[in-house]
Formats: sequence, structure tokens, C-alpha cells
Amino acid sequence: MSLEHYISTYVFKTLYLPIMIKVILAVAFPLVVLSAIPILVWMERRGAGLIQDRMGPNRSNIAGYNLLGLLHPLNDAIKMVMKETLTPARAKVLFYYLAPALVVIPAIMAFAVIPVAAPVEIEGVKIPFQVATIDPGLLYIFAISSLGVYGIMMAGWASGNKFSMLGGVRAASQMLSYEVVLGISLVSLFMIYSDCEPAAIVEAQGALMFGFIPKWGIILSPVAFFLFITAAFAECNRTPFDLPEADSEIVAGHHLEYGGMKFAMFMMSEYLSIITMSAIVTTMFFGGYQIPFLPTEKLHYLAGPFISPFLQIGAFSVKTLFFIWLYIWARWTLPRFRYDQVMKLCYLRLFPIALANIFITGLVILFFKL
Amino acid sequence: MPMLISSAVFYIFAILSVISAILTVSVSNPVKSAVSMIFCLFCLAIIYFTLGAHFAGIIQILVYAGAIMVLFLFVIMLLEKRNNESFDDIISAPKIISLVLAVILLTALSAALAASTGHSGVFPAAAESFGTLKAVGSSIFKKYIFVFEALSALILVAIAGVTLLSAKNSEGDNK
Amino acid sequence: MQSTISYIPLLMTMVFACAVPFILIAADYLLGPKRPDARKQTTYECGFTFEEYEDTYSDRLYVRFITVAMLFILFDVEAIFLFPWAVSFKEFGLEGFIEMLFFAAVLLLGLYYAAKKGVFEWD
Repeated sequence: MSLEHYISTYVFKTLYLPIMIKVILAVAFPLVVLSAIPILVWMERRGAGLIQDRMGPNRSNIAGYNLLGLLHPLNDAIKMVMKETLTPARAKVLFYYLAPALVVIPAIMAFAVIPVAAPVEIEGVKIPFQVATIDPGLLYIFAISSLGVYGIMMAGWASGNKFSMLGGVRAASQMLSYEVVLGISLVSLFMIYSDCEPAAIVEAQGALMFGFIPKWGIILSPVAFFLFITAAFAECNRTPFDLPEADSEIVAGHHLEYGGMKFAMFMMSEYLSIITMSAIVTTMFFGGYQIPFLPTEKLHYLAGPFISPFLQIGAFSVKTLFFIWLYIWARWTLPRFRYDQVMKLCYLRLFPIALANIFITGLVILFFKL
Repeated sequence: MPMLISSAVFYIFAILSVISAILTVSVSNPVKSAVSMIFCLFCLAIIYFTLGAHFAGIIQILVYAGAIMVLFLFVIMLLEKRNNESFDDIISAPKIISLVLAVILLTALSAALAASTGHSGVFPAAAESFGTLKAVGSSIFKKYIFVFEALSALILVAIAGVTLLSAKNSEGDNK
Repeated sequence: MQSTISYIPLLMTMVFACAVPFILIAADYLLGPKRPDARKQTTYECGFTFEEYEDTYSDRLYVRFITVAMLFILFDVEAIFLFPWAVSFKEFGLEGFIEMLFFAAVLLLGLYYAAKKGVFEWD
């Protein structure tokens, strides 16, 4: 190998290849998450059918094959695009069109800091399975999802309808309030792992306690898990916190006046935030991409650098899908809260409990020198 | 190469933030003004990131763009039809006051800038940990602990203020 | 300053994320039929014509919601300080624990006062 050739491969490997990998990841992650939405829609419909003892979607077919109703989301997408573009007479046109975009953009961006597999090194090139490893870590997700409120408020206001307005205001104040609980429920885990970078936390969760219990967040801080999952339900405006869309009171809330693809964008962002929240639960409380009792190093030793990322992505997907299923399960199980109950639950119950949890965790860490 | 990308991003978002800041004060529709202010704050956050101030950038988005501006928009949207006073007069008291304040700020900033050019112009490189959560944390909880505890009193007063405001209003509603 | 470069992929994700809604809205606009109709474009209000309440649309002031937004900012500011404290909690030890306990206690006092005054009583 000539020196020139060696230098050019070195430059390629250390400079251009990492940039290319990052570009690919930055586009592939959102694409994969976006393409998971139809599957979620299908899960929700079939899940509803399962829970309510009926078939669920099964009519749509190609040449007689209905693929268990999997074609319905596809059908929906085509239908949504072909719908008439309507602009209500009293809408503020610019903001009416801007609002769905402002809802979707943060929802797509939020997933970027979550690792789906441990980084591997193939022929001296490090391949990460996380779009960006940044110091603020999970705070990035909180920051970005806090921007999602604008789209919803704007949708409610720009539609020029009082039901929309009420729905938008309800959604906004609910999302704001629960954002605080969402943030501070994870503080106890940041204390335990002394970091808030998701990849570092996942690696720390691979260790074992007393030789047989994995150091998962759910075991070290179970209260935080229940606080987080409650706040996450409220943050996604899902049952039992779906007051912004309470159809018996305010018809459909902030997206009442929207139709076609613009309506679909509100649905998309709801499913995207469900995916992101489930991914955070997996990452923080259930060991992320770790396969139980098989830490990354061991897995790399056993399965090699080519297969082990796929195994870890599989483990991550299974865990995340379970929490997505939890959302759907809750939707067909729990009734809706009253608005004052939602606010009281946040400020007078969850918030003090979250603070108490932080200080109790702190005391335990201090006394047992963990 | 990395330095080049960083400075390219810095200049793009610096220009965008200046443009959106100008829009904020020049647009007549209050909602448009608020939206461009949100965009301006977001651009500032990205500038903080390019300068290595991780925690400051995140706070900029989380608190300024994501919380305080929400309150602004809330008030603008909810009070939209109540307040029809126009600020379209060419000369009005608020405009004169803001102009005076802007001139004072500009003088102060250019004075500071002029004073700093006496410096050699080369600043020592910041440490690798500069601006990270841990670095900011140890400076808050070791160096500025008194300020931090005093802040709790400030927030307490603010909570009391909010409480009194809303309590007064609900009484008014009942009567 | 290698660390600032780690944000670049996020910027690329942002560019991609901004492209998605534009593509979707453009597709919606280009593919759907456009037959505007004054009746079709009226606001959906369960059978009322909108002239009846046009002025009452924002007559009721949602003070409660503004109160919630203000309280949120205050508690959000508190939460912000918890993050840098939490990541180096083990380094600060008991001293840091007491400092934050005092801070949180003062704020809980504020929360207690607000609750006693009935800020969270929605009627």
C-alpha cells in the first residue's frame, strides 16, 4: 500500500466517513420514526378491536388479502391527501397553515438524542446508533417538546372557533403543567447515574446489583417511573388526560377546523410524541437497548460487531412497543378526568411527590454511599 | 473543518436572529411579533450551542422560548378582542420611551465594546468542560450559592403575587 | 471545542423535520379538489350561526389559564436548577443536599400558600 493511498484512506475514514454516517443517521432516524406511525395506527385500531371483542379494521384489501387490516393506515393516508383543502372563513390563514407544521417539527426532532444500540467499531470506524451525543442529553427532549405547545395554541386560536380556542388553551395549559413533573420526575435518576446523557445512562444500567438484579431505573427509582408515565400520558394528551379533545364538551378541541393532511399532521405529532415518550421510558427505566443480563461488551464478544447492533435494536423496539401498547391499553380502559382534577393532580399531588422522591433518593444515596 | 462548520452555523443564525429581532419590533400584528421573538430566542439558543454554552442554550429554549413566550402568546391571544388601542400613531409616549431606552442600551454596549478592543483580542481557550451541566452546577452551588438561595425568595414572592392576582380576579367573577 | 460540533446532526434533523410539513401541506394542496363554498367554510358551531355570538367569542376571560401559565414559569425555573444539581449531586454531598432542600422548601411554602388561597380550585 503506497503512502498516498494510506493517507487518503485515513482522511476518508477519520473525516468524511463520520460526517457521512451522521448525515445518514440524521435523516434515517426521523424517517424510521415517521414510518412507524402507520403501525401505531394499526396497533391502536386492532388493539381497540381486541379489547372490545370485535374484529377491528379488516375490509381494506389488495387482491383479497387484507393483511390483518394493515392496509387501512395506507388507505387512510391516501384518503387524507386527496381530501379537499378547506380554509374556514374566519381562520387567520397564515397561522392556520403554520400551526400543524409547528406541531410536527418538534415532534420529529425530539427523538434524535435517544440511542437505539451501543456504538460499534468496524475496521476502525466508529458507528454510533444515536443521532447526537450532546451534554444536555435528555434536557434537549424536554426543551424541544416544550416548543410543541405553540402549534397547538396557535391552531386553537387561528381556527376562529370557540371550541378550538378552548381546546387549544386547555391543551396548552395541561402540557405546560405536566412538563414540570415530566422533567423533575427524572431528576432522581440523574442523581443516581450522575449524568443526563441517555447513552451513558443506558450503559450504566447494564451493570448488575448483588450479582443478579439489573441496575435498571425502575428498580432503583420506582416512584419516578409512575410519576413519569403519568406525566407522559398527560403530555401526549392521551386518555385519561385527553380533555383537549373531550368530544362531548368541545367537539374535537384544537384540530376541530382542520381536515385532510393538516388534520393528519396533528395525529402524526400525537403518535410521534407517544413513540418518543415510550422510548424515554425504555431508555431511562428499562435499560434502553440492553438485553437483560447481557451487557454490551459480552454481547459484542458473543455476536460480533455486525449482528449485535441488530439484536440491541430489536430489544429496544420490543421494550418501546410494549409501552406504546400501554398507551393504547389505557385508552380503552380508563375514563377521562375532569379538568380541575387534572390541574390538582399535577400541582398538588405529582409535584410534591416528585420533590419528595428526589430528596428521599438523595438521602439514600448519601447514607449508603451508592 | 469542524471550526469552519461551527462558525458558518454561528453566522447563519446570528443573521437570522437579527432579522427576526427587527421583525419583532417592526411588525404591527402582535402575534406575528411574538412568533418572530420566539424564533429569535431559538436562534440565540443555537448561537449559545455554537459557543459551547450547552446549559445556557438549553435554558434559553426551555425557559425563554418554551415558557415565557407561551405566557406572552397566551395573553395576546386571549385578550385579542379586548384591547383595540392602536399603537399606529407616529409619535406616542411608549415609542419615545422605548427609543430613549434603546439609545441608552446601544451607547452602553458600544462603550463596552470600545473598552474591550484595548485587549489583545485573543482570549484564552475555554476548558473542554466549559458550559456543561456539571461545570454550571458546581459554579452555582459552590460560588454563587447565596444568590441561588436568594432566588428562592424571589420566586416565592412571585408565586404570592400570582396567587393574589388570581384570587382577586375570581372574587370579581363571583360577584 | 469538539463538543459544539456534536450539535450539527441535530441541525440536520431540524432541516429534515422542517421539510416534512411543507411536503405534506403541498401534497395536500396539490392533490385535493378545491371547490370553495361560503357555507362549507363557515365555522363549525353545532348549528349556531356565528353572527349570534361573534362578539362573545373572547368575551369570557380565561384568567385561570393565565394563572396556570404564570405558575408554570415559576416552577419551571425551579426545575431548571434541579438538573445541574442532580448530575453532580454525588460530588456536592450533604452540603448540596441541604442547599437544595432549603430552596425546594421555600418553593413548597409558596405552593402551599397558593393552594390555600384556592388557585387550584376550578369552579
